[in-house]
Amino acid sequence: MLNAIYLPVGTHIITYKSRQISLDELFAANEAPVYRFLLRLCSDPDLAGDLTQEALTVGWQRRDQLRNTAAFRTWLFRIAHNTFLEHLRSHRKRLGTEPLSESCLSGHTVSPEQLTSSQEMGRTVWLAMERLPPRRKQVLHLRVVEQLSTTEIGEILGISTQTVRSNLAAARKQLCQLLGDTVPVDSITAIKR
Amino acid sequence: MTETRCDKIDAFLDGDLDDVERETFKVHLDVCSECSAIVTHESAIGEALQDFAETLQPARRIQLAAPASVATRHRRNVWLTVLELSAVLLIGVGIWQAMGTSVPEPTDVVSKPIVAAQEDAPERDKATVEEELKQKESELALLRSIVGAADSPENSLAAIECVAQGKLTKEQRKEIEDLQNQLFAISAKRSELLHQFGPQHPTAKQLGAQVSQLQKHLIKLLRQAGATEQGNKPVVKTLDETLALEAAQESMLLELQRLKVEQLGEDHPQVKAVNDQLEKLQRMMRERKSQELKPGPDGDLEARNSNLEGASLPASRAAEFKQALSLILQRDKYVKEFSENHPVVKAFDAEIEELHKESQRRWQKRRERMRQLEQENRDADAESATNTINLILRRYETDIEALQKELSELVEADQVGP
Repeated sequence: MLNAIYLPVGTHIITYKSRQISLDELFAANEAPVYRFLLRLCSDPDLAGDLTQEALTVGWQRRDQLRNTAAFRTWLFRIAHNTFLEHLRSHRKRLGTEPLSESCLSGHTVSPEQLTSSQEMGRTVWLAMERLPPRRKQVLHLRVVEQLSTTEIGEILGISTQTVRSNLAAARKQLCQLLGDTVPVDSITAIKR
Repeated sequence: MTETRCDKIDAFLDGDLDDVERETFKVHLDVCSECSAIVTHESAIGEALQDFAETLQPARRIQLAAPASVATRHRRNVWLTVLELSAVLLIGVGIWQAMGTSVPEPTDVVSKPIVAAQEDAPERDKATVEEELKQKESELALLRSIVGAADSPENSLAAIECVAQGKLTKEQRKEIEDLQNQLFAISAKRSELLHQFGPQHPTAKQLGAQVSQLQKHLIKLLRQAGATEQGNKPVVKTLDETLALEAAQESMLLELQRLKVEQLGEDHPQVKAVNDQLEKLQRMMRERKSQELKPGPDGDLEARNSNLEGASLPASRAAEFKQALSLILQRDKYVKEFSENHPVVKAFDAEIEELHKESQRRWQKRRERMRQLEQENRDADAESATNTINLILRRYETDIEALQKELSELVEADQVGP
């Protein structure tokens, strides 16, 4: 699905010869991924909505600075990450201080009853990820949910590829332990089979 | 889950293997049950997570400044901006003439239209507008950080006026900008360390100390910038000047309120915000005027204080002293005649003590009242400075918005044209 957003837009740029129209679509298509990433960062649906609005607005205002359209997602996610850091700075908050609770999904538009069994399991994994340290949570999200490469993740978070790799390995291990505490790991595999 | 992990399994999961390595590893998966179980498990988690993540959407639709829909909104906003600018300019000039003073008034900065009225120069080219926009944005960022860095509104106002009036020297500007960049870089690094390792990390502590030192230096620089321009004069000088400044702000707000009501309707939050600000300002003006009537001819704090007490200060103090002295003399007479322990002497002691306490209490009350009045004065100055700063910042924001709109129109025209 992610590549599906990429490729047609690149084609639009050539076909319509109008950069602004295609960028508009590109921004709209990335609204949900940016929101998910910010929700992952701040664990607050309302705040994530506000920060998404801010990040997309900033991205839109700086669209002329975008040199390589292929790297659009990395560029936009980096803006989103900076928006979040700026929010932390202005509110003098530290990451990872909020207690874990289901309220991190309270603004969720789909109720748990409407979820399929796979989605329900995904929800459990999402909540378990809330208990990971911030950096591990971020790299795992960008890798697993957004399917970004380690280099792209490093660019977004401003860290080295090696740090991304070590955090990913640690995050996987820790998540496995956490899920082992809450749900039998094999049941996830069984559902997917 | 298994404890043994092959070397390349993480690289495989991270997508870091090249084509050949990936194919080789897939062959390995067929024979290694541990790796195969890990990969199946991880991909199952990943897919479940992706399925769920697809359902996560922001509760409300994000408003993107789409070019097509902006066009109509834009024209109205530009007109509002032009009207606002003209109105503010007229009011500013009127006040300037009415006051006939050489004191650099903050309202002058506010009323100075930073963007020239757009009908006068409709044919400005893209590069000029871009350059102007860039400058305005950097100036606004500078102003915001001044507000953030200075310890009081009065301190920041002087520096802000320098920037807004373009009177900051190139060197000062360069130095302030360098310092801000440095500050920003260090703060960012510190924030990273904080959320990775917590506040006890030694480097984070060190960086925290550096940040506060740089902030102090920045404030010092800004004070100097403000001082050279203002000649070390406090920004709000006399009651007359303050009242005139507030009157100017009031008329500007009234005009802004009228325009916003016309454009947006009475119930719009922007109109309500202006109303609140106006009400606050008017209340402050009423209070200041009523204070003005109370004190003596020179408005001196001490005189005002004694008026409140109902008696002239030196006279009341002399009377107290005289009374105490006569009691002490009488007591001495009795001590000589009888002894320290005589009941009459003790009665005198008690009376003298009572008088002393009474005097202390009265003086304490006066001191408190004086402190309170001084604080009120300071608060009022700070509020007035904050209002002016807000007006200057708002003016910059409006200008930047107008320039952005102008630029996007030019870009649109460019695209349509050829």
